Formats: sequence, structure tokens, C-alpha cells
Amino acid sequence: MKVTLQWLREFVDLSTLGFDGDPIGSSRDERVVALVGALNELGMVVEGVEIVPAGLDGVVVAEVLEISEIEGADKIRLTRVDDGEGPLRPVVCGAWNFQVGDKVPLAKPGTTLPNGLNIGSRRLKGVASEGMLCSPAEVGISLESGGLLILDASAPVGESLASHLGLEDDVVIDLAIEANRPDANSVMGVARDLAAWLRVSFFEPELVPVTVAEPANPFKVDSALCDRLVTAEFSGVEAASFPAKLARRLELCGMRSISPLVDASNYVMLEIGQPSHPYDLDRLSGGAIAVRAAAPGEQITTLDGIERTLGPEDICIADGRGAPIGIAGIMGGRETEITGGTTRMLLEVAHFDRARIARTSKRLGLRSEASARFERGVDPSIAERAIFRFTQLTGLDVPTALVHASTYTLPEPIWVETRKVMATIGHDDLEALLAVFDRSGPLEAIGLDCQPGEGGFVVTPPLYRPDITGPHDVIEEVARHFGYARVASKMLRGPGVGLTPVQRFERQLRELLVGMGFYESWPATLVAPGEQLDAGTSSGWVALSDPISALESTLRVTVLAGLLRALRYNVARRMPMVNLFEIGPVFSQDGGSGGLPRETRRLAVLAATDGDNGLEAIGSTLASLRDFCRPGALRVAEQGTIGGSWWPSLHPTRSCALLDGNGSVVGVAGELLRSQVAGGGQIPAEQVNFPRYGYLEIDLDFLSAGSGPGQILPPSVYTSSDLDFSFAVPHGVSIMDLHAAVSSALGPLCQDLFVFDRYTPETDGDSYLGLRARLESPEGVIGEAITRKLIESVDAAAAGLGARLRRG
Amino acid sequence: METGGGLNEAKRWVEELVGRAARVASGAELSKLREAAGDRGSPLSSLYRSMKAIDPALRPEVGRQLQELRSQLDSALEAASAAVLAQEVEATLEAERDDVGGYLCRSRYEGIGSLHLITMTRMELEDIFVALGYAVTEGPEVESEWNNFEALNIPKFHPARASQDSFFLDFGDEESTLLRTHTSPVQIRLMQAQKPPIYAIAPGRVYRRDTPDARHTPAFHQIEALVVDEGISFANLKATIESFTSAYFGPSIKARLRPAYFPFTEPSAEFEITCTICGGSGCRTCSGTGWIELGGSGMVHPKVFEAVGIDPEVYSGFAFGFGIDRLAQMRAGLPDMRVLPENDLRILAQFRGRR
Repeated sequence: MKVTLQWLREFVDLSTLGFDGDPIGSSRDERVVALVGALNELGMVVEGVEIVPAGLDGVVVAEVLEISEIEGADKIRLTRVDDGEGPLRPVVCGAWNFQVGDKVPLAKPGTTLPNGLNIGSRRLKGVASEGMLCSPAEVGISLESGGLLILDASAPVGESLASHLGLEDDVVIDLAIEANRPDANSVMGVARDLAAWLRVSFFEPELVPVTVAEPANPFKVDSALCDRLVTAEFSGVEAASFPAKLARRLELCGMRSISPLVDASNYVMLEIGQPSHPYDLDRLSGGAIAVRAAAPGEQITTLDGIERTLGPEDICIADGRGAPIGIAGIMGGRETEITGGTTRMLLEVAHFDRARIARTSKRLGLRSEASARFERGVDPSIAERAIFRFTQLTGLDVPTALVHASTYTLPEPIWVETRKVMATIGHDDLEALLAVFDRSGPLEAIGLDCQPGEGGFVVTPPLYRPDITGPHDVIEEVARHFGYARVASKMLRGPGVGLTPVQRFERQLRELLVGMGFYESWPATLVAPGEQLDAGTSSGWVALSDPISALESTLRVTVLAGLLRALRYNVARRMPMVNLFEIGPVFSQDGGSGGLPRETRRLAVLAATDGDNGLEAIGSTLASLRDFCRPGALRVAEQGTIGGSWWPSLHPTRSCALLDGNGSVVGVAGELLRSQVAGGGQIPAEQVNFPRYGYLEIDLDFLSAGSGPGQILPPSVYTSSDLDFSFAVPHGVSIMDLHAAVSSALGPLCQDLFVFDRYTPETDGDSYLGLRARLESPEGVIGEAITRKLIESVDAAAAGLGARLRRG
Repeated sequence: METGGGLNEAKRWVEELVGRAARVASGAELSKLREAAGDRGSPLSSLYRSMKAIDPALRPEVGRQLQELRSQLDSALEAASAAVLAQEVEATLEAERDDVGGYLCRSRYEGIGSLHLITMTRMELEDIFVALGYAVTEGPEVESEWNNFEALNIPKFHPARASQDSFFLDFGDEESTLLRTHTSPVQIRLMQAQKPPIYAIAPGRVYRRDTPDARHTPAFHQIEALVVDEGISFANLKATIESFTSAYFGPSIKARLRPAYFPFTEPSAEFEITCTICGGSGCRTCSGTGWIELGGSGMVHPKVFEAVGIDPEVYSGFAFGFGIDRLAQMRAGLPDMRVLPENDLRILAQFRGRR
């Protein structure tokens, strides 16, 4: 909402801020800064300040005394004008809407117009031209540039145009008005709030001298849709005028100046917040309107020339025959629009149901200045005032205002306990706080009637504050007009429980991965269906009902679907060493609770090494993660793909499922297929080389639920012994199984057991595996007898799996 | 005469050997020198052997001089041996010479990784609130329409819904589930799950159907604080925002509140901080005002308490929230937020080592 300083000053005495008439040079002028500060403190946030000088020094009223052709020119003519300074002035002009005797604005040489144009003396087609005759747009009072601005015949020649039109230097202030401040969608409302805050006078506009009457045959109004309808008929409207000074204000506030009648209607709306709609009475069938619910499928062409289809939720204005002629409170129809030829006019001033206007406006995608005001709330009692102001602005004869409907209800009084005011705001100086309720205090100044009672106040809000319905609404006004800045801060501390063990674990996990060389990525949770398929899931994902783009149209079922995008992005930019990790959510259709899709969090790690072996790249990460769990809690299952749509599929012969102690799948680890990385040709394969990537995705709840390793045990004081085993392993025997078997055969003496050597022959024969055990005993050095016994057990355990311990 | 001649000869011989010892350059030379010094036919050995033949009166003096020559020779040999050893050590070390630069000048992408800028910022914020005695809680990114809007006093057709344009899901009834548009539904979950007192923050990811620009991505991060207890007032809210902003931005940064409207709080306030770029004197970042808007706040609306079944006659509370991404952006001077969802390693690597 834009307001201008001069407009505000018609309603509020701003002399306390120092505004007196001295020119304002910039938005850093201290008076402007003070005004902006006051508006901000009231919650009408200033989003912009523009200094707009009248800018018309050197533009005067001139009379056209001669018009003549210029040889060889058919678009311009030579005029001689009287500017009151003696000899007639030759001015070449390209406009055609004037004749000898017209009074027009003349910009003398040396003038700079508001649009920045510098006017000088020059020669056109060999003819001298001393200045320029101006259009309304050129002097900044409207966008109209079709011809010269024709002034009153009575305008005194030589008078400065600014003073003739009453144009002033002004300041345009752009305000962000919150949804709970319908009153502030008008200059009057802003001024009222400001006057209350500054504790200065608010000038109530002149009272309404229109005759108000009940019509003999009131128009039909559905009272559920419209609780106030007042109309007035005007004749001889072709004689209506609208002051140029005010037209300029409309332009400054962002509305186009169109015609005296439309301008006046708009001006009233900006000034007091009441929208109105003019109809051409001669085009209005039956000379009457009605307010009703639209019929399903009813059609209407609105002022903007668009045909719109209405439904029973919409409020429709109908003519005397019942045909639709407007969408109530939003936009009128083309059929009954006033034009340059209109002589008789009906002005509709109404109050419509807020919620319905909001719904219709949203459904049609049609938001107007009027609908914005109706959906926030308009004072239903100011229709007559609007009609009077309209009449005053246009200079038309005072009509009779006919009240067809008036069923609105008055606001209920609200009981506000002093105790509650104090408790909510928490300011200890109660006397200062409650002064806001005083007679002629700020609450009363903004229209809240406050009657003191036992331990509180009975507060009746005005009709222009429909947002105030309960004590908390009143308390907000108390705080606002007391001043948020004046409330004394009171320190508060919570009980201090700290981070939970799970939260600490998560931080530790992140730090671990960072230390291992992984970068944390931004979770791409919204992915394309193709990315879900590339990650190896085929269904079960949740789609957005109205995505912005297909690339972000579904919620990922696996983290991989999102990480593939990051991987491809980097590989395509020749950054193939992609080491990323992420802790983020995955979603699926099935398995959720509380009416929501399933959402769980996972850790995912994507790893690359120079070695071109994805398993090598991910192995140490997986081994480190295992250390976060209780021993044996994280197990590796048979190699191969995992069924279901809940986990990604990786390289089928170079991956495995991760199991918890109960054998349930809690994750997957392995290598990505090259085709998964390359995607549907997103990476030009012949251009970019990329290694094999290791990948790990694991349930975060599983990781964080395990309470980690147990008690710390002191190491043995006796010398340890290393024992190397070499096995011939036939195809199909898993290293994990063999490791587990050997480990259990060695029993508690075995402190460490790891692969130290591997050999896989080219041919189909057995592969060879070297396991090294570190044996320690708290009871003493491990002697040969025990060692021999252990070797026998290992031999037997290996044989049990089909592997053979190579001895000797 | 005889004696004097033998002594002089031995002196000359020892002098020569001491001279050689000073010039020894290798283990081999040292061995030769030792061999020469131990030669039984050397003038020094001959003189020793002929001691009996010397006049007994002169014998002590000759013996003393002989002893001195022997010890001169021994120390020279010892020094030579130490020198050779030192030379050998030096040679070995020299042979191991390497340029440290060869190990330092490596790819900037090698080495440790990094937390995400958003995570770093979020953790710092969490730490500040933990120090103020708050718990950290989280909620799901997929929410019900009720938790996200209805319970927060944002009924259908409320203008606040239009300003938080949502991603609804193809799940359940039409427009019944969505990606949460703010972290406020966590408040609802908290108040339903826990009796007051509640002192908690809820950081997390939220989504709005906005066109991305330099400062906005459709997915972004917020942090929300909620306090519900007996006797909580607007004055407490003000103090909490002030202590948080001075803890995060430093004591020179002030906070101020100004009236605003949010459906779920009343009184409501927007909070601003001194512009961190110009320190309050006015610049382009703060549009010349000296203040930057940070977030929204207010006293929990009675309708919200009603929705979760907390008695507003007993308890009161406040809530406030703000964007994490903007703080992260300020922290790193990141010109455009749209690079973050790309996960470009060339960007991520620049997060390393930040605090």
C-alpha cells in the first residue's frame, strides 16, 4: 500500500515531526526518517521511500494564439503562444488535440521535466522552437500522453503550472500492511494509527451531508452474501471533473488516472478504504442491480475483456432482468462499464462476505484492489461517506443515497483482564502500560472504546477492525501502542537438558566421515522418477501433486536417487573423485503411520579411490561404522541384490545387504554399476573417465540405537603372538563366513583377525586367503601346546565350510 | 744426547700423526692411522722400550714427556674417530634429503572432507540454544495439513496459506499431506507429546513452491524456538531474542522487535538485527535502514494451545523462528544459494576449515 506524505497530512498533524512545508531533499531527511521510524514501530513496515518533487519549475500556463503549417512537415505544426512575458513565443508541437484560444502547459527552455527531459531552444525543419507544449504524462499527472493537457479557460496566463494545478512536492511511502490490519489499507487508517502513536490530532473528515433514504423498491440482496448495499444515481456525469493534483496522487500511489469518475471511485477507495463500482445507468437493464449467488456455469465478461465462468460459491451482481453484470467485490462487467459517453451513472457501494470474496478471487486468479480490501475487511458503515466523498471530488450534484440492505452486526464488547495484559506483556511498570487505555489515550484514538471495570476493561472495537475479536487481539494493540521497544526485557533460561545421546552420536558420525575425507552433501530429496529407477527402485515412491518440474516431482525412496544427481553433476565436470556423505530422509508410500507416508533417516556414503575398486573405497568406512555398533550387531549378508523397493540395487556381484543382529536388512553396501553412474547418457561416456564407486546406505535409527562398544578391557601384559593362516577357498564360500568361523574357533584369545593376503587364480580353481590372528592371554604367554590346539580347531572350522587350511 | 734425540724423534712422529688425525676424512683412513699409531716399531714404542737404558736421574722427566705424547696421540685419534662418525651420519642424512614441498603441494581436493555449511551453521545455533537451556527436537519433513496449517490457526483460504505456497503430495485425501512449509508443525508435535514446561528448538528442512533465486531455494532450512511454561511473557521473548542474537552475532549487534502478523502468535513481532555489513550506518544490504530482518516471533496464540489441549489459563508461551540458510550465506559470503543443491565438489571443498 502506497501513501503520500501530503495525503497523510490531510488527516494527521505531522508538525511534531517537523513537517512544515520546507522542501524535502532526500529520504535521509530527519523528518522522513522519523516518520518511517514511527510507521515501522507500528508494524506498517516501510518498504520504500521516494521523494517526488512537483518538478515543474519553468512550466507555465500559456495561451495558444496562432497555429500554422510548417513547409515540408506533416506531423508537426508551429504555434505562437502567450506566456505572459511579452512577445509571443514560437513553439513547434506534434499534438493535434488543441485549437487557438486553448490554455496549455508550456515548458520554457532550460526546464527539466519530471520524466528527466531537458527542454531547450532548437530549430525543427528550419523553424525556431522555444520550449515545449506538454501532455499530462509529461507534467507527471497521469500516464495520458495522447495529446496536450488542456487547462481551464480561466487559467491565468503566465502562472506556474504547479501552483495553478495545486501540485506539491511529495514523498511516496510504500507500506507492507499485515493481514490483520484491514484499516491500514487506506490513507485514513494509516493516518489514524500514526496520530494515536504520535499522540497528535487526527482530523476526522467532514461529516456526510448526503440525504440518506430507504428506497421504495429496494434492490434484491442476499443478506448472507452482502450485509450492506447503498447506491446513488448521478446524472450529467459528462460534466464530472477530477482535480489534477489528486490524479497525480493516484499515479504516485500506483493507480492509473483514467477518467474523472473512475479516478474519483479509486481515490475514495485509497483514502477511506471503501471500494465502489460505477455502472452506466443507460446500459443497465431495468436500472437496478441485485446481489445473489452465481448459478453454476454462469458466464460473464469482466472489465479486462476476459470471459469468466462462475459457480454457486461466487457472489454475482445481476441487473434488473437477473443477468450477471459483475463479480461482486472483485471486478465489474464490460457490458455496463461507464465510458466517455456515459451521462447517467449508478454508484454501487457495498459490503460483501470476506471469505467468499477471498475464495472466488483465489479460484479465478483475479485479485483487484477492491477484492484485496474486501477479503481483509472493509468498514460496513462508511458507504454514505464514500458517496459523499465521490460527489465532492467530481463536483457533481449531491444525490440521495439509497440504503437497500443494512444487516451487518456491531462488534461485540470484549472483556480484557488487567492481570492478563500484565502477564502477557510482562512489563512491570503497570501504570505506564495501562495508560494506553486512558481516555484520549492511543487505544481510544484508534477507535477502541475502553470502559474500565472491576480488574479490567470492557473494550469495544470499531467496525474497521474486524480482526479484533478476543482479549489477545486487544492485548496486541496495547503492546503495539505502548511500544515494543519500551517493553523491558526479562531474561529466561531453560532447564538445560543438553543434546540427547542420539544427537551427540549423529554429530560424532558426521565428524568421523569428514575426517575420512567425505564431504557432506545437500540432500536432494525431490528427484525425477528416472533417478529413482536408476537407483534400482521401481515403485513405492510418493509423488508431488503439483510439481514445479518433472526433475523434482517425487520424494526419493533411497538416498542414492538423490546422490546420483550429485555424482553425475561432478563427473560431467571432470571431478570424478566424488566422496560424499549425507544424513537425510527417505520416503515411501507404504509403511507410514499417522496418515503420513513412511519417512526414515539414513546415512549414505559415496566413495571413490584411485584404485578403481569401489569395494576397496567403501570397505574402511563400513569397518569404521561397525565400530559404532555393539560387536556383532552389524552383519553382512549373502552377496547380491536385495528384494523389495525400499533399498537401492547396486552391482549384483559386488554388493551385499547389511543385517542387524536379528537378521533384518538395515542397509546395503557395495559398488555402483557403471551404467547407474552414466545414467541415460547424462555423462558423455567417451569424454569422461570415472572410477568404480563404492556406496553404502544404512538406516540411521539402527546405527544410533546401538549403544556402541561395551566396557574397556585392559590388554594382556604378556607378549602376544601372531598366527597366520592360509586357506584354499573353493568358489562359493564367503570370506565373511570363513572369518566368522575362524574367529569363533580361536575363541577369546583372539584379539584381532583380518585378511592380510588374497589370491584369486585366473582359472576356476580355489582362491587363496590369508588370515592373520593376534592372540593374547591375560594368564601368560601363549605356548606351543595351545597354539597347536587352536590350529586344529581352525582346521576343523574351515573344513566345516568346505575350505582347506594349508599347513606345513 | 742419545736420549734427547729419541725424544725429539718421538715428538716429531706424534706431531705428524696428530696432524694426519686432524685431516682424516673416512673410516679407512682412520683405520690406517690407528694401525700406524699401534706400530711397535714407531719412535714412541722404541723410546718406551729403551726407558731402562736412560739415566735414572732423567727417567722421571722422560717418562712424563712420553706419557704426554701418548695422551696427545690418543685424544687426536678419539677426535678423529668422532669426526668420522659425524661425517658418516651427515652423509647418511644428506643421502635421505627430500623436499617437504613435494608432499605439501597436492590437489586441493585431497585430504579431509567437510561438514556442509548449513550443518555448521545449524550446529552453532543449536549450541547457543543448548547453552540457554533448550532441548533440540526434530520432526518429519512430510506433514499433515492439520499439523502444518490447521493447528497453527491457519484455516483454509487464510491469506497466510497463499504466502506459503505448498508442495502437496499424491497421498491420502487431496491436500491432506504436504512437505512442511515451516518448522512450526514440530511445535504442535512437541506440545502434543510433552506436558509443559517446554524449552525446545526445532531445526530442520522446509519446502516452498517458490521460484529459486539468489537467496531462495525451494528446499531450505529453518530453526524454531518454543517455550511453554507458567508466567512466560513478551518481555521474556524479547530478552531471549536479544541474548541469542548477541551470542551468535556478537555483542555489537542489537536486536529489535516490531509489530507483525502471524496467525499462530499474538502479539506477534518481526525481529531485526543491526546490519552486520555496515554496523547500522546504512548500506545496500540493509537498504539504507541499518537493520536486517531475521525472523518472526510472538506469544503462542490461544487457538494453538486449544488445538493441542494446553490450558492457556495456566500456561503461556512464545515461539520464534528464522532461516538458517540466510545466516549460512552471510557466514560464507556465498553469492547465490542455488549452487547448494548442485553439490559441486568445487564449492563443497571451500567449506573445509570453516568455523
